[in-house]
Amino acid sequence: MAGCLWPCVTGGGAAADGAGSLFRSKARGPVEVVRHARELLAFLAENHDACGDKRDVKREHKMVDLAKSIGEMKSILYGNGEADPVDEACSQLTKEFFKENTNSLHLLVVCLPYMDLETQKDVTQVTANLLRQKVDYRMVASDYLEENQDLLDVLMSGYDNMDIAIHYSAILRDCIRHQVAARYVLESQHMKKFFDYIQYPDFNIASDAFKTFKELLTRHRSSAAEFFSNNYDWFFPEFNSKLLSSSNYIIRRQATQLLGDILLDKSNTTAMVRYVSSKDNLIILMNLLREQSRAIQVEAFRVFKLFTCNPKKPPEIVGILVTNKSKILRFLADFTIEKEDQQFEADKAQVVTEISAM
Amino acid sequence: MAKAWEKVATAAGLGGSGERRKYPIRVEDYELYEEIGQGVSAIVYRSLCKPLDEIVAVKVLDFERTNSDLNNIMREAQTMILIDQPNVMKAHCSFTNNHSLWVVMPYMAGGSCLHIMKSVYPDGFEEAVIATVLREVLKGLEYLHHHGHIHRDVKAGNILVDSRGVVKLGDFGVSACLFDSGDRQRARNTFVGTPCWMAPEVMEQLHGYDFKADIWSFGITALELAHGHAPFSKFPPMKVLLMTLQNAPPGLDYERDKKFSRHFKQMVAMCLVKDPSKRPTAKKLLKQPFFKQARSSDFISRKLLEGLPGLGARYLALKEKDEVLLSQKKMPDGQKEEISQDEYKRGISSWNFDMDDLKSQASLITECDDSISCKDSDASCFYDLDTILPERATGPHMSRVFSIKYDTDTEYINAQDYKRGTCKWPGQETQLHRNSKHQINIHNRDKCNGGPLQVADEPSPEAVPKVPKSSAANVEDHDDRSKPPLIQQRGRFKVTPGHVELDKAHSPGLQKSHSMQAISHLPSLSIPSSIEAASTIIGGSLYMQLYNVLQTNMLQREQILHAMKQLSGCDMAMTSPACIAPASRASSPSSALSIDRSLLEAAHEKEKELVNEITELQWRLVCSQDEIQRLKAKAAQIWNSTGRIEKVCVNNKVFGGVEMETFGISDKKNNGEIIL
Repeated sequence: MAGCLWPCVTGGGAAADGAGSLFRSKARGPVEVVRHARELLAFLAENHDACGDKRDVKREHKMVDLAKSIGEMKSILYGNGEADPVDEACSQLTKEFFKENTNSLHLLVVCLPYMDLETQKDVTQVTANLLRQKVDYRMVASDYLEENQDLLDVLMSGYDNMDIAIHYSAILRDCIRHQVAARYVLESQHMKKFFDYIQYPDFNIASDAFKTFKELLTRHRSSAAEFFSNNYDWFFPEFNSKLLSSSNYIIRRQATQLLGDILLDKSNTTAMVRYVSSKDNLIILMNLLREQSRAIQVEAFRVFKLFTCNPKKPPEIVGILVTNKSKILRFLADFTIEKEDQQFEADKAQVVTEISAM
Repeated sequence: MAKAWEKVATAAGLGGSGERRKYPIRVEDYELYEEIGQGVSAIVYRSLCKPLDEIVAVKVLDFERTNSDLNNIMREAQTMILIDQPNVMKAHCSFTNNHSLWVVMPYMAGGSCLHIMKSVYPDGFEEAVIATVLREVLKGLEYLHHHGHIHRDVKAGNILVDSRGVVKLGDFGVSACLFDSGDRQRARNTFVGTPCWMAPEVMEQLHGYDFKADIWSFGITALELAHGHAPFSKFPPMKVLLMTLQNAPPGLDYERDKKFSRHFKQMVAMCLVKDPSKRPTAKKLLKQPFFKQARSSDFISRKLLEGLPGLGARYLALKEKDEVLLSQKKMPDGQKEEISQDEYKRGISSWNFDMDDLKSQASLITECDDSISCKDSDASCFYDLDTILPERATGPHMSRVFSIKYDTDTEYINAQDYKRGTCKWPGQETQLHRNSKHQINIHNRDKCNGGPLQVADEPSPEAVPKVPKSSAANVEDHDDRSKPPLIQQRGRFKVTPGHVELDKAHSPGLQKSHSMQAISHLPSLSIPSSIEAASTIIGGSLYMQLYNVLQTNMLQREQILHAMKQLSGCDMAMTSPACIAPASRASSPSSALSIDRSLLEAAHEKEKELVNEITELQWRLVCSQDEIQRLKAKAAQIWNSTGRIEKVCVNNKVFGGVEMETFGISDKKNNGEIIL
């Protein structure tokens, strides 16, 4: 993807308002709206290089028109202040949007960087809705994504562009709700890049990347389990070094919580058993228990208890636990949480029993 | 990683180039100055962005101290980063620093409207200022609602003003997005917001709510800007919830708020409609005539900000004021609000908010008020008994002097009754009217009985015409009462002395029995059961009226008894002249005749006088009894309509019992007299 980093439209908002009032009385059907938007997108995809010193009046008009068309699509799909959306209209719009050989979604994604912020937000919302629509009881979006997995590559590259990262990440997250898309991403090399995206200094981009990362690893259990099984040898060491040991407090906290979610999921029992049999992993978790942050301590304890309750503990694990027995018991005696939680107290009691018996 | 840094550096170097300015995301690029705001888990500082040489506001949010989920913080930060509307507070960027999240925002030098009001305008703003501020807020709301956001915390404290007078809606801590799941959610259900500003449907949790909830909050905010505080703001949170659900919507008073225009009152009324589907959208509201008087941001700058000390200084001043109040053991506003919030949160976690629970709590309050009302009535009754006793005590002595005094007392009592009636009847008329319109029992009872709970109610204009009508009705009633005694008097005047004696023989027993029975039944009637208290508002109101009528009836019976006593005294006087007559006749016939005639004349005059009084009192008794019957039938009808058949039976039995017993005793007394 090449082209200008910033949309060249100026005064688009005001013009759009004017355009809105001018054409308000004319209401187009959903099919017509989609076709018109597609024509505009095709033009924009071909002519985006015009950006720069030269101001293209024709192109600007088309940008305004496109913003209006996308607004109309949104109005159909979400309703407006007074009316709820009409199912038949939504269905027609979705069918036309995903019609074969039209590639509307790809066009929309490719052209997004050239739109103004408001239109970008509308696109995100329109896309989220379309990816959930059913036509004749079929998830047409799933079929589309299965045939056009290269779109996911485009979306993944969005993290390299700070202006569009948030929008692409949101669209990607909606795409991977479909298992075909999630499986594709999990099997790709993109998974390794997430460890870098999550460490961006910009809080919004980093947290959105983490959100997508978490979705990939928890939504489709069978695909996730398969991923952990096939990639255990590089994934968890990377997880430990870049996330659990990060110098960034928020990353440590998020990662510790996610680790608990992954290991406590029954689908991931195989990975869990391997993880709690590793001395290196235990050391990391015990260090997290010593954090000043109570929130991190609570999350770390969820994983730590799995080490202690493992009936087949390796000797090196037992050795570490025995060596630190008195310290662990003293820590647990003082370890409390603000809200009364019976499950937490029961878990703590069980851990104390296990440690004491060693 | 490196890529991102390079871009940031490049953007910073370019300065104003590009459509959106890039703000640095490193702690070292910002210098924090004085504190300008504080929240539950965040502090806001005026700060300098060094690379851009721009004053900004930095919100430092401590992750360890916040109770909310990390996801909420992320959502809020992202919502603000994507804002692109001049009337909504946006975030330039955000980044983490140790345990804290730093959010960089525009610096709003004017502070919040709440701050400004507290500092300079404690009684609220003038209308032009209100119109301008509200229009800008409305533009912000329109933008948010277009993107599916519900702000959920619209209030003066979240309306910020910058140095040029630009108004922005801020704080998205509790906002929600209907479009978040990629679908048009019909409604949200989370119980969240600030009590005084929360819409009824948010509290009810029956059908969920949507962005129309913000319109209600907007209406409350309008009242807040007009009066300097929100309606119900002095009450604890649970009370506010109940009042919002049960009371009529608050609004601008046509009398108290004369200084505000009709358009303003109409706009507020449109927002504060309990049915959310009948509230207008933000877009439609903007077209209201009220907003035609709105002006520019320069106007806001001149009117509100000129001469105002800096935000940091004002913030410190308010803090000091709070400390002074605290040291004086008074509750400062901030503290009160905080405690209010604590109670509110506690309420959320420990109470059930389904509708049945709220209704039962409301009925408890009603019951409490009933008790207060009954006590007041009892006190009044006790006072009346006190006034009667002294008259009895003086009875045996100086019959002639007593007679004169009795006449005076009679007039006094009549005047008192009349005044009391005048006070009560118009009130009762108004009470009925308001009950039918507002279904507010607590309020009306408080107002009529002067109870400790003072609920501010805005009488609607329609209530005003009723007052003259009820006065007229009262006058007519008085006229009706004055006519019958004259006719009766004429009729009775022709009756022979023998007939008078017969009446005397019957009357004392009958009246005495009535009074005694009424008194004996008073305790049970005066203490309402909880079931009765929980009955419909109209039923409760009618009960009070029945109770008042019974009181009046009892007083009238006492008066008739006094009249009977006086008549007996007169008879004794008549007897003694007869004894004297024979002696006089023996010594001198002419002298005897003279004495006899003068005594007879005196007796006749007294008889005439007493007959008049008896007639009038009997008429009033008949009127009271008729009214009791009418109200009883009405109450029975209402109780039937609410499906309380047993209550009707019990009630009838009670009244029937009184009458039966009275009749029986009367017969017995009559027999005794005959024997005598």
